[in-house]
Amino acid sequence: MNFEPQTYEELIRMKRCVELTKYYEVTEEELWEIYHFLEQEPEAFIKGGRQNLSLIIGQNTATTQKVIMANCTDSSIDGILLSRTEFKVFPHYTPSSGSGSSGGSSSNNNNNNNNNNNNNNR
Amino acid sequence: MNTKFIHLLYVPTMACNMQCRYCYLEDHTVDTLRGGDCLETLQYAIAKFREADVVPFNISLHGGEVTTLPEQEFHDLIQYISRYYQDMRELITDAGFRVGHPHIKTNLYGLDRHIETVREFNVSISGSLDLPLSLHEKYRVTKGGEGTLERILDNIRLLEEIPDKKKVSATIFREHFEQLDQIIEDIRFLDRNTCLDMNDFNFMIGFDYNSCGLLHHMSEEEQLIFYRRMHEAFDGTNLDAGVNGAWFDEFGPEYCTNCDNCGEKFFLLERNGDIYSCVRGQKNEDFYYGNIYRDTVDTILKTAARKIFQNHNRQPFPEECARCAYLYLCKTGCPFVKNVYGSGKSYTCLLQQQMYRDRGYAPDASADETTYEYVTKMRLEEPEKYLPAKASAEYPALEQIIAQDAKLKYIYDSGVFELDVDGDRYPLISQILRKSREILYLTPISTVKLRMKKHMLQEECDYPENNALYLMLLSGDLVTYGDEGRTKQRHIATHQIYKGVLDHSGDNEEEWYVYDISGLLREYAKEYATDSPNNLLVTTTELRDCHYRKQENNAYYHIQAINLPFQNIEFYYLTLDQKNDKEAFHEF
Repeated sequence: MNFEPQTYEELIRMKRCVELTKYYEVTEEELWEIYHFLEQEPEAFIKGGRQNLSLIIGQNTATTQKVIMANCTDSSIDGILLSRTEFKVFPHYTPSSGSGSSGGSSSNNNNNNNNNNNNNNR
Repeated sequence: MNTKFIHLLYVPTMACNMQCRYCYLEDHTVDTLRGGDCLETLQYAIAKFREADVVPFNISLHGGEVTTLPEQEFHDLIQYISRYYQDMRELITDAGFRVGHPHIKTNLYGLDRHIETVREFNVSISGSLDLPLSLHEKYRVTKGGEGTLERILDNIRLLEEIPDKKKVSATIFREHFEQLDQIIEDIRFLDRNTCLDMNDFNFMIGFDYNSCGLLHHMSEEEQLIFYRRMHEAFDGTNLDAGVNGAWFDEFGPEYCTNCDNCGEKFFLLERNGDIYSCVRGQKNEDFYYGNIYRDTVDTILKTAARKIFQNHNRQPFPEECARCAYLYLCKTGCPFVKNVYGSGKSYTCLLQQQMYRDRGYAPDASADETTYEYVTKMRLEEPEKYLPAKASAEYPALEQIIAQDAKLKYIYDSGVFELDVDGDRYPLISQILRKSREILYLTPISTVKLRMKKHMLQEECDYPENNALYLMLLSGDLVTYGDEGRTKQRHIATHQIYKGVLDHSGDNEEEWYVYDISGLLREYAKEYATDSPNNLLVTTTELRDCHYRKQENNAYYHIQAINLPFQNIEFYYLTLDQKNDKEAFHEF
């Protein structure tokens, strides 16, 4: 996305679009389409599944504006939801026959017990 | 490249020699491309598909009515398909598909004109009839309005010497269903008096679409009655294999309606190069995939998958289907019919369920996982709603441990912390109970307020005055450290805000402490990761201690809550420096 945002609103929108490319294989043209969709539609939602990104206005999925066929390239997620105010990532659920885990925690592995900075100020 | 195998219906002509009173093609049964070479279109399409490494494993001819083609044209077309199968036999069979003979769907009325070609290439015939035959005579008439049954039965006799498949199908509407006994009699008649393989016969269930208002669909209950009557009449007879097999196979898992996305596999090509989903979607814009002469194969394939996805999502995903143990077989049915009926589920749902049971298809033991898988692939509903509960066989689940210990409740409560960013509220949820990660985009001009229910300072605390709102800021950058060599998010800051300070916040509401943390976040602006989301976790000082006491005393809890369990939200912090850093955004 070869442009320099002039406002924080543009910056955030652009950053969200760039974040999207971490998960989906999209062309620059498609990315711009998503950018403008988010810019122009106050109720814009981008829903990403395994193989596509759907551009939706409001929560009514029956009125999908457009579906972009785009493979999800990150096997650690099952989808995303993007709007003007949200960026949700749905971590991959590994079926019970597998050995993985599910949940929404980030990739951190913090056990703050090792970093206990109690100040005993009680 | 990975070879993609598709099922191709080819419609070499839209012309028909009959004018069935309920024909779904209505005014489309005239050939708009007379004079064109129907073989050329198929050859062109096959060559273009092959260039894109797409191989039709099956090419069937459909109409209009293929027998209206001139004899030589029909011959050349069949010959081409026959040779195609010979040439491609190894590739197709190696991929696990069966190679048959050229196959046509026909009304049988003009078959006599092509009987030599049928014989020469051992063409597989699938005829269509109305049952009972009295309704065939009534509905399936010539353009002059005359009956066609006698001639069709004569033509069926011509097939006696043809070794390959000779089958018929019948579509059942309520008008047919009302003459059930006669249908049974006529099946017996066809079995006894014709060369048709009535064990290979199949029923289709009609739906209200383009039948000129003449025919009406059966209710799901009537479909079941129909199915059961057929079994009563034919189980244990010489047609036992049929009634327990091919007759109702259309509703089984082998057919197109049971694909996740039929647009990935099934295509109908018209003589003018237009490509649709199938005969149901023919001439319907929502099921039009492009034109083989004008569009690339890649575009056509992508359009197909996209349109079928969209068509499925025009109707909501029924809860009934989400809970159904046969979703793995049914996949909610045909998107075309669902949209005709304005329903999200298959119009033959009850019939399918009965058939699955009768044929020994086991209910899905992991139905919740199948539903989740299906939703993430084919639905626009949010997947977290369908995320299966994960049970550990070895030790209790975290939710179970929390339910058994009241002291843990508020460490994990999803309704006690919120983040307000420029007026938009985000609930903070335990990061190990979350079903999704939520990422915020903050800037130095964002107003960020942390909201905490006031009672939180009293939870698991004898002296709230000494208790504090406890914030942890972690970087998206990872660090590996210590004996364990664990990799974790790097700690940026811990911040405690005591009751006395919270009490004085001017933004407080009746039940909520509301505290502006914009300045605190800004203070560490240079420490945040720019490529990975940073992490804000919150709790109270006392609840944090409570968590670690529990960890010390309960190994199962320790295992289940080995990562920080507190309510969190992830964020990027975008600064002017980043805004001016062209590299950051020109990477794409």
